[in-house]
Amino acid sequence: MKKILPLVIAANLLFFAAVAQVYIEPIAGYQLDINNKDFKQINSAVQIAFKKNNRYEFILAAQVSWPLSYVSGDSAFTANSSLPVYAPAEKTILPGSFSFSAGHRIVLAGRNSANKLSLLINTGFTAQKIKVRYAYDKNNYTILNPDQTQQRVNIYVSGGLEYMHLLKSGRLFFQINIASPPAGKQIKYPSSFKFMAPLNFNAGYSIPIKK
Amino acid sequence: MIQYYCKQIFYWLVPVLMVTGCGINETHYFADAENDGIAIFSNTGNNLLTCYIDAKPWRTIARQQGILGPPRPTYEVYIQKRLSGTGKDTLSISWEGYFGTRDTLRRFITARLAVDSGFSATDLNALQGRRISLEGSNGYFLDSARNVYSVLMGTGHLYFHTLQLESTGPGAFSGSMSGLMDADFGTEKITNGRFDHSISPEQVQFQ
Repeated sequence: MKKILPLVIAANLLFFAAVAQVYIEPIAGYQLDINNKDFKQINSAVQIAFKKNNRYEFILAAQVSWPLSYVSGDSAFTANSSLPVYAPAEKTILPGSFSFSAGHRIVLAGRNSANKLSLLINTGFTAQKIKVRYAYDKNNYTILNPDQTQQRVNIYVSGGLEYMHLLKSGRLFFQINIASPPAGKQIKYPSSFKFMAPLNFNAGYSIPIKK
Repeated sequence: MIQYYCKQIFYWLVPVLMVTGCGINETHYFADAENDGIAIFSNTGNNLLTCYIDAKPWRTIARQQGILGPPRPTYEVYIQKRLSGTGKDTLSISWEGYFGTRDTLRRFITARLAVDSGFSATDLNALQGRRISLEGSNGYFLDSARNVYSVLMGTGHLYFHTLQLESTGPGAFSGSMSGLMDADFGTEKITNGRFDHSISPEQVQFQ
């Protein structure tokens, strides 16, 4: 490992020395979840793209997925005979995440044109927190099989396609990406949901910051 | 060589397990995030009753199943019917448990119901979805410490969310039971009781 590390650092320095252009790219979008069809988020991200040549860019990205609340009904019961046996309970799930990744933008088509189609591959760390809240008469009733807040931080991978259009002052792009859930075993709790495998639809703009 | 050692280990391990036994814990405890020290209310066969007794968390013993010889299986709950010789018999649902981590200080919480003499195990299925108030005339709760002659008698409520037993042979029944309970013994109270059990034939003992 000690022998390899200087080589890795040297290779990276050579890469950054060979960078032709650096872009900063704000991104916004909408996200669905393959594992839980009712979980949805609004994405915001910022990434720095290091363009090596017209075929390849290295990307560092930070993304926050803001949860859209999912409200559903659950069941609460009581043994107290002076109350109705059943009462409805409102369950609100807030599925959010944060990720930091390093990735690759590999141009598949249109290398020398104003319209490019690229392959995106990212790996990094993601933190998912699926918050659960209940609203019901907690003094007199008990929820059957309640969900609980779950969170996990671990590595993940993602991949997707991107259409990019070159403009005079920058680049406009649209992406479709699918990501894995954070690595690790299944949730050690009888949850009605799994960790998210996001499918996101993003739009962004490339602003050149160094030439 | 490796095969020889594997065989040796196997030959030694089998008699050791036959003597000491090897148990599988069939109780699944999922902590209730909103009530410290007790488990969630479930109906998935977690084999557990938890509650507060005077605000202290109490839970039933773990269900252990031996896979090779002893130990004998241990069950956290038994459903029994005893003949009284009169027109009414006594149905008992009895849970064995302990406070917190003090597994040595065990006690039994028992619900006793008066039932007709012809009451069978499958008649229990009629209680599914029903609440029962045990108020003395139709039944009562008992709280008894193991090996200590102190028994408390009280009133309370039982709600059976699921109670399904099916015949699996002559005099043998299995199924599931889940629900809620509370009891008042005067000097102490059981609150937030919730139970969830898969029921095997050994746990249903009807005379």
